[in-house]
Amino acid sequence: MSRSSSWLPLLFTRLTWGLFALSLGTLVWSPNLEGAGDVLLRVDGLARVMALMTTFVSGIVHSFSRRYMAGAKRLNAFYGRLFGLTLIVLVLTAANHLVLFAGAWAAMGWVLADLIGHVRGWPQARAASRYARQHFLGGSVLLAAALGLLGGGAEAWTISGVLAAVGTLPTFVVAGAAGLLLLAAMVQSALVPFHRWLLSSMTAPTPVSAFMHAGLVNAGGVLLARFAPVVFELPVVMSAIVLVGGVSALLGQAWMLVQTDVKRQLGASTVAQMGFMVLQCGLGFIPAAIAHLILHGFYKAYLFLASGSAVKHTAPGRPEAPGTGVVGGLVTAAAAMGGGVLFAVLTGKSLTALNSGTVLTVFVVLAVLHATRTLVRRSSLSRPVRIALVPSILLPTLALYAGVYKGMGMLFVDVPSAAAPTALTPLHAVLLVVFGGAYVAVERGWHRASTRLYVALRNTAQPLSTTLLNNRDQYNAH
Amino acid sequence: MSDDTTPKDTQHSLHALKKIEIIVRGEKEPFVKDLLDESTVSGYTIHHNVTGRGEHGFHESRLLFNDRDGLVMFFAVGQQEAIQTIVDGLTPLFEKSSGVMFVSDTQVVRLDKFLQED
Amino acid sequence: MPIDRSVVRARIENAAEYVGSLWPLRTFNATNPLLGFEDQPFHRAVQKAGQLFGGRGYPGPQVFRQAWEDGEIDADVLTRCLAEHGITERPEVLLDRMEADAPGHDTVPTDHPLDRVLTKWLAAFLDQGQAAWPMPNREDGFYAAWRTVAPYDGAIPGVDRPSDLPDTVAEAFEAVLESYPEARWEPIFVHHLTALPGWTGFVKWRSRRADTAWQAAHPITLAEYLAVRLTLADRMGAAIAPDRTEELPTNGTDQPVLPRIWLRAWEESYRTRLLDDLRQAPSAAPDADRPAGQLVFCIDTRSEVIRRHIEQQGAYQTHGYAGFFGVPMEHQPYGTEECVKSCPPIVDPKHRVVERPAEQHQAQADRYDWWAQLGRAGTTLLKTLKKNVAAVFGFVEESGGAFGAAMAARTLAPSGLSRLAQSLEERLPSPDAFCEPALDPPPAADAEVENSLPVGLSDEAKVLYAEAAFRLMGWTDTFAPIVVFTGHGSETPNNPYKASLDCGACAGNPGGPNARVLATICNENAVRDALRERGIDIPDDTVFLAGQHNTTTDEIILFVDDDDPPVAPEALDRLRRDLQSAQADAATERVRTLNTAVDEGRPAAAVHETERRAADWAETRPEWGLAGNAAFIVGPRALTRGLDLDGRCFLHSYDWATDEDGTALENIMTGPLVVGEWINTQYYFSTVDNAAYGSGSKVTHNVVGKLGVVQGNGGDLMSGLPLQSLKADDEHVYHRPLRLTALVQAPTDRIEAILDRHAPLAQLFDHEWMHLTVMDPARDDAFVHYQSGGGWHPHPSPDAPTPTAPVSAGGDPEAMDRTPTP
Repeated sequence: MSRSSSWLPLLFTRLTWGLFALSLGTLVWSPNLEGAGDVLLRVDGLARVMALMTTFVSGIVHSFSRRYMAGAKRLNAFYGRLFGLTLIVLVLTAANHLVLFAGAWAAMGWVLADLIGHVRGWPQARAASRYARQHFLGGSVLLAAALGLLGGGAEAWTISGVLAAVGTLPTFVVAGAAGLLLLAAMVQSALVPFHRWLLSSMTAPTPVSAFMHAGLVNAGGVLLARFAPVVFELPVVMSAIVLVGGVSALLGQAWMLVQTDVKRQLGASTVAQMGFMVLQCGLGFIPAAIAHLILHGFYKAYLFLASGSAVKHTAPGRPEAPGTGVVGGLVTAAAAMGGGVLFAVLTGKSLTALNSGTVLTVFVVLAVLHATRTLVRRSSLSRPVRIALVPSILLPTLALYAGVYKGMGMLFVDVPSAAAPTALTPLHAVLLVVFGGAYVAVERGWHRASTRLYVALRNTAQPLSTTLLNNRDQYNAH
Repeated sequence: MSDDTTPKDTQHSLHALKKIEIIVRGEKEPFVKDLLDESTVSGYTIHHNVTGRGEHGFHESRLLFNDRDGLVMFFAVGQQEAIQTIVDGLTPLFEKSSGVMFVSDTQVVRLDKFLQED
Repeated sequence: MPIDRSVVRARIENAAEYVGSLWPLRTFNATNPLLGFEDQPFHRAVQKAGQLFGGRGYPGPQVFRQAWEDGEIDADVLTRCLAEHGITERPEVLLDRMEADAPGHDTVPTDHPLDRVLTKWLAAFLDQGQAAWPMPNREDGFYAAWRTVAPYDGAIPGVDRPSDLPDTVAEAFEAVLESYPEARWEPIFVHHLTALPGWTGFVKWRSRRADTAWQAAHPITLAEYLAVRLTLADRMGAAIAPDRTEELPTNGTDQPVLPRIWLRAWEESYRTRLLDDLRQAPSAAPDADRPAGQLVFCIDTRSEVIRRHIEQQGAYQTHGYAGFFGVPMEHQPYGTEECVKSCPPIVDPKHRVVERPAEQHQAQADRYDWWAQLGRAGTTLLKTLKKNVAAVFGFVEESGGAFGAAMAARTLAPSGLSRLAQSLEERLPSPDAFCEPALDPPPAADAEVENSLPVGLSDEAKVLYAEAAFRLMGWTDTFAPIVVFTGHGSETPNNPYKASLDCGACAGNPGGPNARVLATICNENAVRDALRERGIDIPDDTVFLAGQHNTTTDEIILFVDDDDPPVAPEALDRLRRDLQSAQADAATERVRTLNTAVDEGRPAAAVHETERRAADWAETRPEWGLAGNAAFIVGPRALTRGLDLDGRCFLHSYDWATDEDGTALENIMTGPLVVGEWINTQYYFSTVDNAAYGSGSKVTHNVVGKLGVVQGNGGDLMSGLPLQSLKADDEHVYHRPLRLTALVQAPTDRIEAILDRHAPLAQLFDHEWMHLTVMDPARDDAFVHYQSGGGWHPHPSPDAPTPTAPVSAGGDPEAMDRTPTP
């Protein structure tokens, strides 16, 4: 029945997978760009990993859209932008020249905003697009200012040149640039208080959301990783990053609790996950942050693409889960400890020396703890099954994560300041207490006592009002 | 049959009450039910599958596969005020939907059966 | 001034007529979005609805242009219809004019603070399990729950504590309505109920289904909604009463006259072609021999295709009957607490049928239970980890790799993945195989526990449903050794609209369970004896089987215990082989209509393509559902056998000769035909205005509360069908928006008697919500068309060069208004 068919979507899809194959190749053989090439581009471990990740998710999104978007108006424009965005991200992650980097950053925001408003003739989509574009333009200005400051101070036009000169720069330049970079990263990664563009972006076709949440919001983390020597220079900046990331991680996850539609729930979750990723940067673990953004990318892209599965029959009320009992409690505690130790051993962390790496391990322990608790409380399963499930689920997943984590570390040997664990500070302690407290509070249901908190969470995560389709008549999309 | 009340209470003295009969399309059954439930009548009877002809034409109810268009008849007895509330609630309804109601005088023997305890 | 609660309630009930009920997507029900307007002539109704919802009532110019260019509108018919209204311009000129006259669209998004606050709290209150932390105090009802959150909601001015708001719904109405006379209440309610028609439609559905668990736990009524809305409007300074009278202009017929004529011409063109086809139907040779098998399908338009291909396989007869097989039941699948209504929207369930494992299969059931528990534990684990404030970060890292692999597999190899899943599933016992519907009522003590509907069926009910089936189909003799009742269901993952592709007669569920119930009933000796007494003599060697037609792949599975088949294995094998060939032929025919490039010469490729669609999470058009539906044919299969009706016709078997008192026809016309009209109008309105009456494009859908979809960031709930169910691409319709033509073979006086007895049915024809054509055996099977308001108009014979002028159809609009208006 199709009246118009075009070869462009197929071409772009094949090209994207071709780029994926190339990226895979660069893991084995990395091109050494001599001379002028090195000024423009420098393909280091970070660039290679991000290229692989971006082309993989982009390839999936291209292939998915071949069926999902079939028959859509402006399909060539859609694919052109999707592919263009992929190229821009590749350039961005490999850029060495400051102007090229800033230009790619601005172009990325421009094209992404365009895709959020892909459905023309729908005023709400245009409003969302405009809103996102304003954010991205602001972020680009912040970035340009940071790069200008750094370039001017170091009298260098390349990232490698600037990074090499960080030690010689005056503190106010480093502090100013680090602050601007952090702000630019916060805008791009939709961290609090710049989260609203992301929560208003569901006018984008589903595959675009998948690409956005799995790829483009990650640019904030890439920015921090790329300029790690600048942001790691001052402990106060590190603390600021931890604080910014921690707030978004907690608030995003709290927002998620009260969302009633699937996509905004995923959006709130992205705010939280980006917060956590930035927090990992602030702890000095760039490989951990990159591992997180990649794994989160897979996770979130999947959930977006599968968001049509959310229609379910459900029943009101939840049966109270029985307690874990003594044996269950012991199993839970043992599994959580074991998980933590396993993770630390696999990733080569010291078990005795406490530093910011300990914070990372604690989050792994919490996940294992919660998973084990859930399984052990599952009274409908027989006890041997429950006990057997714990290691059979936890071991492979932990091993896989540790593998990705270690892989990052090995790839990032040529990335400056990739891993710089810091000493534990009171801020870290506060962070752990807050998250531990939040875990207990949510498990016990204490938060439910506050209607005020509920309303505040519901209200602060609202999208921009002009992007809501309250009058269906205005949906003249097709 | 035998309860604790004295035989005097079961003398066949008659008490005057009002009776209301309501016929509506099956679709409106929940509305009328709610109206009666919230009124002060102590109970009511429902007849499904009522057949008849009215100003809007004939309605046939013995249908296998349509519970919406058939007619339903309600039958309730109560005091003047209770019946009045029901009439007030149905009068606007019949401006838009088809249906009829009849109010008449009636008499009952056991008054306590028809008065709702408050 | 105290206001009378019962009056308010009645005014709300009246006002609510303008809002169509909206079912949750899980049990999608086709319904006319303008159901409450059916007491008005079609052209008036769409105009009034346009004022209230902003929706278009007729196809847009580009749809007519497409139909015109594709030759679907007969030039002669169109010219004649236009001439009747004194229009003599060329069709192309008129198309250009309609395009030029099309109203422009809003380009600036508007913000309605009142709607915004309401959609926020409606979504929160009505949520069915999406949010881990739901709105507080929902058990007190919508008004009371809103009253406790309002003081903290900065969007609502001047409320610091709940006591600043009226205590109860009644007081809220009093506070707002005080200053308006009773005569204004109804327009006020209409104005506010139609402002967010999606959400109010859902509230309307839910408040009338007080038996749903969610309504029982968190009650909401339209009165509560209006109490909140009016109180909010009052506080936020929004208008309480509509600022202009929303009454119709007295002469509301001049405006959309061109689209109205074009639509009529299109419908007549289709009807003429259909009737020409029927005249040329290969004269059905009387079936001399006993057929090898008889299959009964749902009246669904998709059945027409597969029936045709099964008949071509050999000695098979097929029949059409409502897909719930006349059993008004609620069904509880094995291993669930969920009780799903499995009968049409206009029928109330009267029995509950529970699936129980057969005694000989208990071991399989136990094994199934073990795996099911494990699966549920996994689901719970994922859910709780996803939502945990602290554990989620580690969880994302530990599980990300698995999600990445799953995403790649589902996107790049959907077919391979589904075959893998299928072969794994085959190793596990399936409830279809080890369960059977429990039909006999349990001992009285057990029945008490299931407090709502009686469990199982009484003997009288069994005989009633069996007899009804054969009487309505006019099938009282010639029973093959194998008779299959075939329900149908779709197969499509990651699709919020799956239920819209399932059986409409089973309330958006697969029809297999109902088919199994009727087959079980018909196999009971006591039932057969009773039927024999009533003149339906089923031979002892006839076995009734149940099956299910997968409408996405055209595969038909039979619910047969292969270890202990009730019929000879050879016969079963032969049937299965023939069904497989029919599947390949049907799939080959259907893939041509889907956006696909499949080698048409290879049936295996076609089957493979449909299987890919049934497994692909990226597929927005797994199948066409009932798109294309345009006619409803009531008559014996002999009328249509051998004809290619292009999957556009509902087919209900009926034999006027065996239905002397017209009871069977009466039940067909008041039941299945009305459901057909609901389906048809839903497709019609979703197509002509996909924003106001449909749900827009799937690519920007966002599932809300596990029950419905919103577009993008949220707002009003969308209703009706998505674009991908109706259009081949964004610009070309696949569903041709025509009102249903009912074609009945029966004497006209019998039909007149039925219309006379059923005013609501007659109204549908008089007000042109659908058309009626009769093939009158008393007039040598001549076709006559029903005239709005009564009377018949002969169909021109094919030899006549010019059609005789119709008496009044489509003519003077005032003439139509003289129809008796109930």
